[in-house]
Amino acid sequence: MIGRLLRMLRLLARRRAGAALALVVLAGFAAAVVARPVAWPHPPGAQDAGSVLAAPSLRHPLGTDANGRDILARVVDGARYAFAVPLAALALAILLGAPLGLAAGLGGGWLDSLLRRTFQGIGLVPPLLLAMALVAAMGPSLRHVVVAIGLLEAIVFARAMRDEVRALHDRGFIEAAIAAGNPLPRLVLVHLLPNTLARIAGEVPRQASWALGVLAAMGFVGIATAADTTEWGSMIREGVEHLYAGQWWAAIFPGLALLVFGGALRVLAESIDEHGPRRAATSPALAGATDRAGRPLSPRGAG
Amino acid sequence: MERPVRALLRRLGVGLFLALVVVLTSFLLVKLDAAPSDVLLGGPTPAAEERAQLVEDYGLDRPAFVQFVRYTIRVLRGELGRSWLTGDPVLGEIMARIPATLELMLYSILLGTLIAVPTGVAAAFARNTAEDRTVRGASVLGEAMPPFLLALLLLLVFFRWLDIAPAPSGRISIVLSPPTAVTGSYFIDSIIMQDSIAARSALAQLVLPVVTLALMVGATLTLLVRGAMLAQMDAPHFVYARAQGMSREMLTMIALRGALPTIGAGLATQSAALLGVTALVEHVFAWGGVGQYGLEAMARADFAAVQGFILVSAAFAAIMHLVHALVRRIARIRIRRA
Repeated sequence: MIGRLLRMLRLLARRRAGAALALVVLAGFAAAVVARPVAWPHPPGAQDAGSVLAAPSLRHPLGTDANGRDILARVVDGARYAFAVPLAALALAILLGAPLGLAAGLGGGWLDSLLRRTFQGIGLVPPLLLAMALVAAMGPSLRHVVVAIGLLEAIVFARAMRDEVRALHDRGFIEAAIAAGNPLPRLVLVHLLPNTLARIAGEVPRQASWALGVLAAMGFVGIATAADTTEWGSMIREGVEHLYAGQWWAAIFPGLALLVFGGALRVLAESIDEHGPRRAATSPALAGATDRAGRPLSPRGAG
Repeated sequence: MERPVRALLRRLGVGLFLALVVVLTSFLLVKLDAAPSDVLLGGPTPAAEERAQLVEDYGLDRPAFVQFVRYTIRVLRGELGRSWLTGDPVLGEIMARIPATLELMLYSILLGTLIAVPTGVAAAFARNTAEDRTVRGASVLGEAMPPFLLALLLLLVFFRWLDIAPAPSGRISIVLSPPTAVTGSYFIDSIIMQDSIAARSALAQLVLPVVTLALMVGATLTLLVRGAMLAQMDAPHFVYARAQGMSREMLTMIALRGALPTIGAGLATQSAALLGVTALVEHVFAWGGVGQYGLEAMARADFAAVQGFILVSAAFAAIMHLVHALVRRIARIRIRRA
């Protein structure tokens, strides 16, 4: 009995440890961004003509790139994009998606079906490719990257919101609130929205990690940004040719930063899946329609 | 009306609507661009008569709705326009590249499934042990892994450092000429042509991109298999079977059987979206498939090609979902008979 309790506690500590570690990693990136200008002698743009593509050393712990710029400074500088772009896209996605989902969930009927089928149709194009095509169409700039990712993630939040509202609608207390004569705005603001918050917030880390991946993919292919930014995907693209020649650090270190940052977000998402509100299969941003809690998926087929 | 007929009509209607949404999405892409779309369709500097022809063809001087109708008709006819870069019809260019992409995806899905099912099953049986946590940790890491980074890491180790993998220069060594096309797969065609040197080269070129994609597929699928297995293992019939002291193999069969629909659905969803990941991997390995074609078209703002690529990727996803629906239906009929 006591043994079992101890085991459970240990398990809990371990699981929380994952989420805690993830938060520490993200905070570490944020602290590094803030501290870099004062704590690190090499600015991200400064060229050191004496050491071009220099291997990692004490002077340049992560080496230098083809222009003799310190890679550590550039990787840290690139974290700004990793924070800003997903956050901005998420804000746009929730602002657009949540009202749509609310309307579909409350309205039901033809509006609900129309939105559902429209999202299903758009969802046929792999979201990564559609996001990239949108940016290619609007022209390369970070603002367009945010818009493209935000639009596609709005679908995810609209679906989550709609499912949540439908589920709440069938619960007694909403029925009671309606019967008590609450006006619609009060019903939505006081009774519905607060109960959907957990679900919406729970979706955030996974969507942030997706956004980060899309941003990097665009940078890597050369769609999103002009040359010479410190966005990690773009840094990897510039480092690739040197990687084949043996100077791997210019591409691999920004890549590892991407992996650690994205990994932290994924771990957060996982721990929310495990302990947070149960989610239906509305995920994403692609293939993510997986239910880790082990409930059967509702497959969304073509018909 | 009879029920099956009505169900069929409904499905047909939904299918048409989805197709319309996809075509509209593709149409809007060109409406969205910052520069006037006729310029983009004809390249940055179209000749005057070329430009006039484009305005005429696409009805660019007409209202947007008319343009959309014309665009839809063109798509229905299979006219996806010409790439301004090569001047060739987009549809032909895409069709020529489909076998390369399909070959890559097919092997990757197979290998990914071969990795994910045993791993996921083992993790489910070892629930919450160190083994389970390792598998889950690796899968979460795999999901966070950008596909192009994995490709580059594999290339660094196996091409640059160990020198046992060939250079990322496409589907066959650059000193060899591709085999006569039969199936479109260089490996299979070389075997048919009994050209062992070409076959070996084609196989060697396949290894790293396939491993990259298979690991990407495997990461997500492992978590899915594990979750589906766990759900089955809570079911009363499984608990009973376990209490009877059945062997691990029997228990696996029982749970796996119940988990199969979930795994199938996950596999279908993943395959449908796999083209995005495949495109990035093709880009790294200069594979010359549809995905690389699409990404290059985007980077060069070659819009007819981008639109064609978006339509084809949606069609691919739709086919995947249809295949899945069909398999499920057949499985259901078998269950009903049994």
